This record gives sequence, structure tokens and C-alpha cells, in this order.
Amino acid sequence: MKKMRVLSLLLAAAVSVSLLAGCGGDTSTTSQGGTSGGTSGGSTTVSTEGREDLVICMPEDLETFDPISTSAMATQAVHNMMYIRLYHDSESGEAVPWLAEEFNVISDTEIDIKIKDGFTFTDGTPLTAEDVVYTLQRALESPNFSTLLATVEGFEVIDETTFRIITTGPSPSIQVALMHPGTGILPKAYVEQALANDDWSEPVCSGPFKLESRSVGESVKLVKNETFADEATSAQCNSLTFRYVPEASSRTILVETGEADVNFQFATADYARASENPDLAIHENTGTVVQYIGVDTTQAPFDNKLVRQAICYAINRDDVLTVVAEGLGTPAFSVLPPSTLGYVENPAGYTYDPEKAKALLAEAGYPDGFDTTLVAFNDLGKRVSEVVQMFLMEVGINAEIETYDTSVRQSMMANHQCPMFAAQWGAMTDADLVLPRLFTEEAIGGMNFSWFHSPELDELFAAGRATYDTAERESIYNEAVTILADEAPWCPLYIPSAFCLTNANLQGVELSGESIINMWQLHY
Amino acid sequence: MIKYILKRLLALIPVILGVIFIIQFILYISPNDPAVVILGVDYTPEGAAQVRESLGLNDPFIVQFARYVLDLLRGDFGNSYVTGEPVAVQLAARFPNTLILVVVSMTLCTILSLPIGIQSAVKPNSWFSNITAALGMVGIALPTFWLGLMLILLFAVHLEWLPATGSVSLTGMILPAITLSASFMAGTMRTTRSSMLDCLNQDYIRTAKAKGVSHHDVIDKHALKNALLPIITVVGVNVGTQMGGSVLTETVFSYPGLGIMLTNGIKQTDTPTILGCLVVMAICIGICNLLVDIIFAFVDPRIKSQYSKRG
Amino acid sequence: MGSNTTTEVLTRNAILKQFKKKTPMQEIMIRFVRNRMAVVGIIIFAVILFCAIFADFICDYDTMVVKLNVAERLQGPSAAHWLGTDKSGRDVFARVIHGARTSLWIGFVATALSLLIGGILGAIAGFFGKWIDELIMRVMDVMLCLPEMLLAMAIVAAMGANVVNMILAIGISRVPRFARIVRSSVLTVRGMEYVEAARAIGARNGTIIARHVLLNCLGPIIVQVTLIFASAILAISSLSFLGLGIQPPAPEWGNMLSEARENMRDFPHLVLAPGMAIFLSIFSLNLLGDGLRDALDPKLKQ
Repeated sequence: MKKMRVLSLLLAAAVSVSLLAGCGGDTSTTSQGGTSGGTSGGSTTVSTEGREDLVICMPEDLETFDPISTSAMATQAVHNMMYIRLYHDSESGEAVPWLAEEFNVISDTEIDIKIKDGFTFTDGTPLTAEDVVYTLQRALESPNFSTLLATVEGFEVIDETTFRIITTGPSPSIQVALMHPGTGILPKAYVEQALANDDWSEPVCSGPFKLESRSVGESVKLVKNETFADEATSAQCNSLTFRYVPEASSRTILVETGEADVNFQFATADYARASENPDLAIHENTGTVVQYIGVDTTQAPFDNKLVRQAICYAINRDDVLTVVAEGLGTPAFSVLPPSTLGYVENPAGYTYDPEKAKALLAEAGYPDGFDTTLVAFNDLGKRVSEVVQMFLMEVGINAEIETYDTSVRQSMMANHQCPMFAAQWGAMTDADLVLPRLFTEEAIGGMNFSWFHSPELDELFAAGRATYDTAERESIYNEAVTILADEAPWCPLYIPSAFCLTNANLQGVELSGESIINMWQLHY
Repeated sequence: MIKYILKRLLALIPVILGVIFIIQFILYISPNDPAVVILGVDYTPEGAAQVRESLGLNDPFIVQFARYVLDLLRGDFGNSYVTGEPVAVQLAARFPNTLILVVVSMTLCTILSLPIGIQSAVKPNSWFSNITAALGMVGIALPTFWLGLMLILLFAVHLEWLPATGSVSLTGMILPAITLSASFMAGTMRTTRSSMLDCLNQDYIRTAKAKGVSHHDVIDKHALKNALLPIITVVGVNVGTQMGGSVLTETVFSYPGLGIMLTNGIKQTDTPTILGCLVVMAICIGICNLLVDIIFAFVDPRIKSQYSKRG
Repeated sequence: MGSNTTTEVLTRNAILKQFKKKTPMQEIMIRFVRNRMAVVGIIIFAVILFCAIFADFICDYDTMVVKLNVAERLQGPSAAHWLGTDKSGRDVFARVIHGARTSLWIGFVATALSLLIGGILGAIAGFFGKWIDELIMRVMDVMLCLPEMLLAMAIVAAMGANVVNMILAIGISRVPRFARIVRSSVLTVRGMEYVEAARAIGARNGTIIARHVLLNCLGPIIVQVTLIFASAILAISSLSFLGLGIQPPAPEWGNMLSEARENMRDFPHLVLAPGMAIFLSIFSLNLLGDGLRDALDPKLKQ
């Protein structure tokens, strides 16, 4: 009797385990079987026809409806569909006029912008220059965007459809700045009321879509804004539902099974599998996001330039790229991505050279390395940190990883709590909107997490801002980038390619260097 | 009977107050500074001092506790440190989802494990009994989150029968409910089996059998009724544990319930959110325990007679 | 798990009679060894324990467990890597083996902690009774109203995610279980004659608790220790899976699972290995616990 029980126990354990193991094993076979599998696709191909209600899987839940108070990419993507801006993005990162009709440089300190006529908000009130100025004024006063509009002193309403930007000098980057999601236009009356009541739950929209419903922690549903006045950018589908799916492979599965149409943030681990599936389309663009390891240059040992350079020599960027992003991207040695004005590929000639790193550490007075803390603020940062940690270990730097939520990043940085950190920076195409926001004294407490600035750089930034001559500006930024590479407040690691996974039949997919853009075009 | 229920209901209040006290105390001694989370970008030492003052974080713990309880009575769970929105709104949106999941999983668990437990008690040492018992041992030892991942691989990715993520819908509920109930099924099954065995060995059952009562009736009318008490207890206790287990299940299936809200709250050190989730779960568990007590009162003749005599 | 045909009950009684002249310890041992499932449990657990203790001799930590090896990443099982490699090229087998060390060690300390606190509280409550008992047990009731997983999460949330806090979290959340067992055992034993006798000859309270009472409720405690050890191992991997436990690069099963999750569709061995490790540890400890319960208290067994 006993024997039988033991036997059946072992049998049951074996059966259930091998069942589970078997399902895993089978899956991997299908993946190699690849395109001929056909099990996944057939149904989705049929059902997409005439589909008007699209589902987009997002890695984060919507934070807020107030465009000024967020820097989360997923939230901004939703805002971009709800609120019109003066300019919208293009695949190459240039500013395309949207609400703006004319851009006139009156003098070095005055720019006039005329907006298109006939736009209204969803509450029926007309969209006037006053609303635009109110929106921009809010942006100017917010810590998130003030550095973006560094040369701007103020705005002035000229008439119903024209307003003036008063600046301290030439502002060659202003159009790109006005493309930022934070400048989404809301009516003055509504914002004042929302701020007073601290209630943003029923936003008044001005973009190609308007809010239909919101389920906290689950989804946001936008429907076509029928009163939207711009023919070319009005919605080509009936509705967009942004569904919050935190897990990367779940997002891919949802698109595979046809439950969703777009995976906003595609995990490269699924690249090989997804590219073999004829029902899926992977859209790709050269990236503009620099993934880097930064250090707090006010703290020992990172106040020593040699230590910072040692870190740049200690890390094999190709390996980081392979492990974290399946090699889909380019290794980075410069703080700027190639798409930004002033880019130099490898200004200081860094290579993967652990021996040199050790020598530099010894020269700096740390022959046996040191212990430090490496802080990561999201899942990607954590994965990057894990790889970097292994390389640092090789040269004697013992970095303990700590993970926190993005919401505490600013204050931790401001309190010198991040001696070393993993972060990323999505660079706009104009270096003036990148470098001064990262490496000036004013940007401390903002995005200057490294606490790095120098008079030399300040001069270069001022010079780059003072002219509209692109060639001259390029050489100025080239010089700035070279200084930054030598000083190494950052150790740039790699630039991931931008990806978006969609149903193969979905039309109108456009990608910037960061993510899918201009989603009003999406349709079947 | 009403007196008994009222008595149990009153006893629930100090328990819930105690739970709030413990959780709030744990979060109170935390070294995390709420001002850092609230201010984010705008952090300054002066601003932080102001925030702490306005939230009453400088008050003694007991004052904060009293204030929280009083606010709670008005349905106010405070505002999230991260989003600034009322926690109650989020809780109201997510708690029903978790409750539905737990109820579905409990039902599934009970429907499957009761008959199996009874059957294996009626015929002990049969192959059926041995195999279900062994499966039970396996079920208890399977980590919930791992089982969830495996089920996704099998049913969502490979067979494509069910969606890979959980949602409040018929199909979206199946995998999370199975995952959540797996380990409890084993416990319920074992309890059913052993309490049925206990009853079947009692003299009165033998008497009934000897008197010629049919096999079916013996099981249904006599044994099961008496075996029910321990089973109800186990089911009641399971509700609490399932609430805890739902955190992992929800994470694996991206199911929009309290579990993900709690995990996110913890990662963001958003104290009001953490507190809100835990308090709601604790109240829910307290109420379930109360329900078990009440059902007991109806089923157990001892309690019934004790109270019916007096009232 | 009880089996109770008449024949078996008879043989058991026969066996018990035969053992009457042996010491209680020997009887327990023999009963335990006769329970084959418990033996299976102890064998599996012994293997895991062996791996944990000699992890460094089986696989080198620095070169196999934490070292990046991009050239060999994401390989299937082979002679060189028995369970393949993960996305950083680390040997999965080595990580599972070293993961056993992490899990068992932390699980052991956490269990010991909760036994210590719970045992003392339960003993105090049971021995002194009255308001002390009332106070302690009410607090325990309140703690039982919160699932252990949630209580542990709350503690980690407040104190931060690291090893020490996780031990505290898991240990404290399991205190009520021990407190209840010890208290009820103490209550049973307290009324017995020999304790009264000890008091009568003037033994101090502390001595009485230590000498007589606790020694007499050792059985249920040992059983509970095994089961709580299992639940602690599960809790460690659960918390780590949620990112609230062990931090990388230390190998831990729950951590390995959450890391492998994005690759699991193409490389199922990455989730199978750590999952099986968790399963086997809990499975073996549960079998062991059941076996011990039957061996220590044959009356409980049907």
C-alpha cells in the first residue's frame, strides 16, 4: 500500500512537471518552426478588416491629464493625441507646423507666431492666441520645461491669432522646443479651474482625439474629436484605447493574439520571434535616446576625472548592448545621439580596455578600486546596471545596485544620494535643447544629475545660442561634446534603436527616434 | 442568533483598528521621507518642512493614527504622495477586481476540491485517492507565480486558447483564477478528506450503515453535514491567504487589481497607497472571518442552541 | 495523507507494541523511516542542503555565477552548461546551486527568528495567563488577520528592500503561528502534575518554562519549523520575484525567474530550473513535515 502511494506521488509529480516543461519545450520548437507555424496568425489577419477601435499597450499607466506635470513617455504619448501643439514631431525629429501657421523672426529678441484659425476646444470655446500664451507661460514657469525655453523672457498676445515670443537673444532651437509634449494647449479657463479644484479628471481637449473614459490602473480610451479642424491630422480611426500592460512579453503576446494593435514599447528579447511572424510588423528607427551611467561629480571618488575616465574604459559597450537590447542599437561614446547637431562619434577615443581602467584608477589613488552605490530608476535601468556592475567588478569597483521608482529620482539627485546612476536621455535634434539642460549650473536640480558644469562649457553654450548659422553652431557643439567626453561626467553606453510592434495590417505607423508618433494616422 | 452576530461584529472593530495600528506603525518607523516623494522635482528643505507640517507628519504617532481612523470613517484614505489623487478613487476602481478574482478562485477551488476530497475519503487507498492526494502535495509546493508563467506559456502562447493577461471578463479570469486557486485546492481537498474520514469512522455512521441507510444517504446526510465545519474553517482562512496570493497572481497576469497597486505603491514609497490597500484587504478578510463565524453558527448546533435558549 | 485500512491500523499497533521497550527517540526514528514519503522528502532535502553547503566546491561563484560571458549567452543545456546559460551568459546550474544557499540560509535565519520571538511570546502568554495572555494573543490575532505575504510586504516597504529587512519581514510575519502553538502546548503541559510538582519544590518560573514546558512541546514545534521553513523559502522567492527581496547579482530563484521572464518563450529552461528548485525545496520540506508529524505523534495519524 505504502509503495503504491509513494509511486503515485512520484508519478503525479513527474507528470505535472513534465506537462509544464513540455509546454515550454513545445513553444521553443514552434519558434524555430517559425513562419510556417500559422497557428497564431490566421485569425488575426481576418479580424482586423474594418477595425475602427485600436488598442495600444503601454508600459506605464497614465500619470495625469496635465501635460506640464509629467515627463513620462507613455503619458506624453496620450497627451499628444489629446492636445494640439504648435509643432508636431516627424520621423527625423524635425518640427512640423501643426497649430502654427507662420513663424517670423522679427529681431534677435522677438519672434512672432501666427496660429491657424478655426480651431476649437472640446467644450466649444475657440482656441485663441491667449490660450497658447497661457499654456506656454505655464511651461516657462515649470521646472520641467524652463530649461527648454532658456532664452525666452516672456510671451505677448498681439491679436486673436498672433502672439510674440520675447527672447534674450537669437533662439535657433525654439521651434523644436515648441514641439515638446509639455506644450500641449489647454484653455486658460479650464486650467485655472482645474488647478483651483485640484481636479483634472475631465480634461478639455484640443487635439485629434478627446477623452472618452478612464479606468485608473487599467486603460484610457480616446475617441475621435469630430470638431478637430485640421483635415490632414484628424483621426483616421474611431478610437484609441491605451491599455496599461506593465510586462513586456505580455504586451507582445497581446499584439500576437490580435487583442491589441500596437505595442508601444517593444522588448527586444522578442525580436527574433516577432520578425518571423508574418502577422506582425516591427517598425524600426535609429534611436535618439542615450543610455548612460552617470556619476555625481561632487562626491569622492567621482570628483576625480581619472576615475570617471576609468569607468569609460572599464565597460564593454557592445556587451551591454547585446545583453540588454539583443544588440539592436549602436554603442555610444558621446553624450549626443547622431541625429543631434554637433554629434561626434567618439570624441575622446574610448575603447574597452580594463587594463587602462585599472591603471587610471591606480593613478587616481584607488589601486584596489572602491565600493559605491549604483542607483537605477526603472526596470531598464536595473538591467543595464546589472551588466555594468559585472564590468566594474572586473576593475575592482564594487557597486551595489539599488532600485527606486522614478518618482523619487529628482529629490534623490538633489540630495546627492546617487553617487552612480543608470539613466537615459531622449535628445532632441537641436543641441541647444540638450547640452545646456544637462551640464549647466542652472540645470542642477533639473536634469543635471551629474552636478557638472564649467565656465568653458557655459561660454560654448552661449555662443551656440547666439547665431542661426548651422555650420558655426555645429563646430561649437563639436567642441562642447569633446570636452564632455574628456571630463566624462557620463559614461554613455549605447543608443537603442526605436521599436514599435504592430499588427502587420496596421497602416500609418510612424516612428521617431524614441517611439511611435502621430498616432492619428493609425488605421486598417 | 442576531445577538451572536452582533457580538461577532463588535469583536471585528478592535481587530480592524489593530490591523490599521500595526500597518501604520510599521510605515511610521520607516526611514523614507514622504516629503521627498511628494515634492519630486520641486524638492527643497524648506518646502519639505512645510509639506511635513501640512500633512501633520510631525505629530505624535497616536495623533496620526487617530486622524487616519477618523478620516477613514468618512471614506477618506488620504491622497497619493505620487499622483496627488485621492487613494479612495483608485481603491474603488481596483478593489472590486481583486474581490471578483478571489471569489471566482474560491468558488473554483471549492467546487473542485470538495467532491474530490469526499470521493477519496469514501474510497481511501484507491488509485483515485492516492493520485489526487499526490497532486495535492504537488499543488501546495508549486510557487504561484511560476505556475502562472507556465500557464501563460501553455494556454496563451502555445495553444492560444486564453488571453495572456488577466482582465475582468470570462476568458481573462480563467488563468488567474486557476493559478490563484491551485495551492488552496490542495489544502481544501486534504481537509475535506480527513474530516470526512473522521466522520465516516464514527459510530453513528456505522450504525446508520448497519440500519441499511443507503450508501449515498450516509455520505450526504450524515457524514458530509458533520464534516462541513472544518471545511468551512479552511475555506474561510483561505480567503485571507488568497488576498495575499493575489498580489503575485495579479503581477504575473497584469491583472488590474489591488495587488499591482500595492506593489507599485511599495516601489514608489507611496505610504497612503500602501496603507489603503492593506487596510482594505484586512477589512475584507475580517468580514470573511465574520461570515465564517456566522455560517458556523447556523451549521453548528452547539452554538445555535446556546444562543437560541437565551434569545 | 492518512491511510487507515484496518490491516494497517493493526500492523501499526503491532509495531507500537513491539517498540514499547525502546526509547522514545528510537521509536520516533523507526516510525519516521517507515514512512516512505517522508524518506523521499528527506532525501530530496538532503541533496538541496548538500548543494547549498558545498555550493562553492560545485561551482565557482566569481567565474560562473556572477561573471558576464556574452559569448555564451542564452544557450540550451549542454555538457559544459548542464542547464544552459542566461541572457548574461551565466551558468544557470551554478546559479540555481548558489541560489539554494541564499534561500536556505535566509529561510533558516528567518525561521529561527520567528521561532525565537514567537516561542518566547507564546510561552509567556501560556504560562502567565491572565491579561498578559489576553494582550499577546489579541495582538497575534490581529496579525493573523493580515496575510503573511502582505505583512512581509509592508515591512519591506517601510524598511527598504535588502537581505536584513527581508529576514525581519519574513520572520516577524510568521511569529503568530509559533506563538499559538507554543502557547497551546504550554497550556496543555502546565496543568500536568510534574509541573505542579516542580513548582511545589520551589523551582523558579523561568526554570520551569525552560526545563519542563518547552521540552515537552518540542514535537509540534519541530513540525511547524519544517513547514514554516518551506513557507519562508517561498516568501523569499516571491518577494524577490516582485523586486522587493534579494538584489542582483546575488543568485536567488525568484530573482532568476523574474529576470528570465522576458526570454521565457524562447528559452523555457531559464524559468524551469529555478521554478523546479523552489518547487522541490518546498515539496521536500512539506513531506518531511508531514512525516515528522506522524512520527512524533502517532495519535494524530489516522
